[in-house]
Amino acid sequence: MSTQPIQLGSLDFNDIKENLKSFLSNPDNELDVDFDGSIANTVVDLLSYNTLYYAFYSNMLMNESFFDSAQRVESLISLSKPLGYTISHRNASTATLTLTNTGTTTKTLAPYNTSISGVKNGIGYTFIYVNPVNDTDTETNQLTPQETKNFKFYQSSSVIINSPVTVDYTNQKFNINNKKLDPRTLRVQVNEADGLKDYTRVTNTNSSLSASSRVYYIETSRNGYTIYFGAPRETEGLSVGRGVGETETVFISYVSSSGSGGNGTTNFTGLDNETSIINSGTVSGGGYSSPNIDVVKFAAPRNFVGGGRLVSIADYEVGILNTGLVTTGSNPLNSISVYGSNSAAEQTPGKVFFSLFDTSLNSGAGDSLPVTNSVVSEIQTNFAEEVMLGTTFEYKEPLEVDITFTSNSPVESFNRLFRRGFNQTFTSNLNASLIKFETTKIPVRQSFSAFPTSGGRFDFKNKIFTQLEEDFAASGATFTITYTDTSVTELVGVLYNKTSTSVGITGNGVTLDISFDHNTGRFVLDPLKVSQVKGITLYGMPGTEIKVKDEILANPKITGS
Amino acid sequence: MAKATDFNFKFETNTFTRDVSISKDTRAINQSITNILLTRKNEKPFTPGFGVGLESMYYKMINMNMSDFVFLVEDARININRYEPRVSFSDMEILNQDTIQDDGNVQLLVTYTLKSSKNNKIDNVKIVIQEN
Repeated sequence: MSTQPIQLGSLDFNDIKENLKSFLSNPDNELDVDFDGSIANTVVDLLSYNTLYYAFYSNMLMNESFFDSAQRVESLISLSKPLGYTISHRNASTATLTLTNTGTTTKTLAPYNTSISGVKNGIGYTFIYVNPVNDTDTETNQLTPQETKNFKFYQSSSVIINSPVTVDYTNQKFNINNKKLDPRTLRVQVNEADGLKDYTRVTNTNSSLSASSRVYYIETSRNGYTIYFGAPRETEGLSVGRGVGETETVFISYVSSSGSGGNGTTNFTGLDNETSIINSGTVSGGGYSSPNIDVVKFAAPRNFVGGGRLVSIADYEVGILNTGLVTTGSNPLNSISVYGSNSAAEQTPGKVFFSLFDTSLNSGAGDSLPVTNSVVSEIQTNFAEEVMLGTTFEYKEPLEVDITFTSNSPVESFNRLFRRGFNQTFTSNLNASLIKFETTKIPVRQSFSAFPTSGGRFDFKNKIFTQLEEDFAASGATFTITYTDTSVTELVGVLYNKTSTSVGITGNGVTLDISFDHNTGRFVLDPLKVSQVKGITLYGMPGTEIKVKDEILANPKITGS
Repeated sequence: MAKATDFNFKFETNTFTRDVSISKDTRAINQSITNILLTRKNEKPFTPGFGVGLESMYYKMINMNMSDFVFLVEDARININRYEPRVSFSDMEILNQDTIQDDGNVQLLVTYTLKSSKNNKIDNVKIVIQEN
């Protein structure tokens, strides 16, 4: 045999074949393995293919065994179970509609029954009203005369209402073999001796649960979902929920959807004449036909660490993501920003701020959520009882910033170096001269006091700053503000000096707030001279360290070559 | 010519050595050419262009016009020259052009030149394709 050792590290078919050919080629063995038409070569092909097959199998086996490398949803489902995280096979597209009762009697939206129709590309889609999960408020679905409220509708391809299920009473569980159902719409009821009772979904066990708690647990399975009650018969320890008796029947209701197919539906109609849809032109979004594995990999470990409590920033981030109210891209941190008030411009303790950017809005281009959006109030309501004592949970409208790269390489470096992108520090590894931060969309909420009508301070990019010890002018970095003065003339002010007395911006009416850190972007605007801020730009130069943090949400984009 | 050694196409046992039968020299090369001509495209893993696929062309060949046959011959030439570098393809012709339908088979004669032989020896291999 050949003295050439086989290279076990080569897993490409051609490499394997070459290794085998090299191994078989020796003076004692004159087989024509080198010629593709030969029978010996065909045998080598067979061996190579077999080797490749097992190499691939081993590789897949190892990859799918670990959370970081798993690619198949089935693997992630299994890996997520010990972390207490439920993966949805499919989520329905949703639309939050503002309804007004123009009649004189209270209107009630019947869960799983009240439906509206929307249109997408000439095809009609049905959307169904469903109560939020675990909602026990009897007035949630009511609309009193002249009242205007937001209601969430789920795109539905079919609806199951009060369907009895076959329960495994010994193990206190039952299966729902339907991957199309949206778990957010699942309602579990048990027909107990004194009537039909709603069961609440819980995600983890805690000391407040007892053998009388009406709760259920949901787990993703290969073919759908498995629902557990907390009192299996043959087990040690205490029950963590009420068990279902054999004389009791379990009923479930849920909505099955078309997944991402329902996204983009608009022109909603179909309610009675006395209930008007204020925002019928809303475009539905947030539906997906299969889970995004990147989002699962992000959320599941954090969900485990958080344990359902809201303590750290990650707890809040995962909590908001798990509500399913915000559609995110593959990196949810680009859409959900949570930070403490101590790191915000206000620098007062005791507040937890959150900012949201929904990628499904604006026809898929994404848009930040204004404070008036119902999702904001819904999240605040959901978290009201879980926020730590002594803290308040407030929404801060995102300040959207376009991060523009003028060549392709920086955006890759940007993404590679900084997991959170816009919430990190550029180092000299990244040529800051190729990056431009720019905003032209400045929400009124972002300003201190009542800018611009009564002057005050405009709090722009409170965490964008250069850390150069020298002047901006000396560093080459520029920090400019574009605004219009009272005569509607467009002007550009440039921050040019860092010394405490001369810090400021050229141009009438704009100076840097020297009570704040010199090199942060906090401007004082003279309302008598400045009428409107049109945009603010920061150009970094090589070596400039730029921090963009917290409430600023942006999507990097490339312009030019 | 240089020695050519290959397994026998049928993997028969050599009764004397009790080992797999070996084909040598011209027989080994003829086996290789036959293998190339009868292998269908995409049949060989990771070598999709390998083969001419004559085996599946019985019905096509009994009514084949000249231009199509020229393309077939060209495909055979490319494949043989690429995958059997010990020979140089010369020609391929149908031996029973007029009696294909009566014979129930297509008899092909592939002529080639052995590159390593003295005086560039010309050899050939006959392939019979039957209805399958």
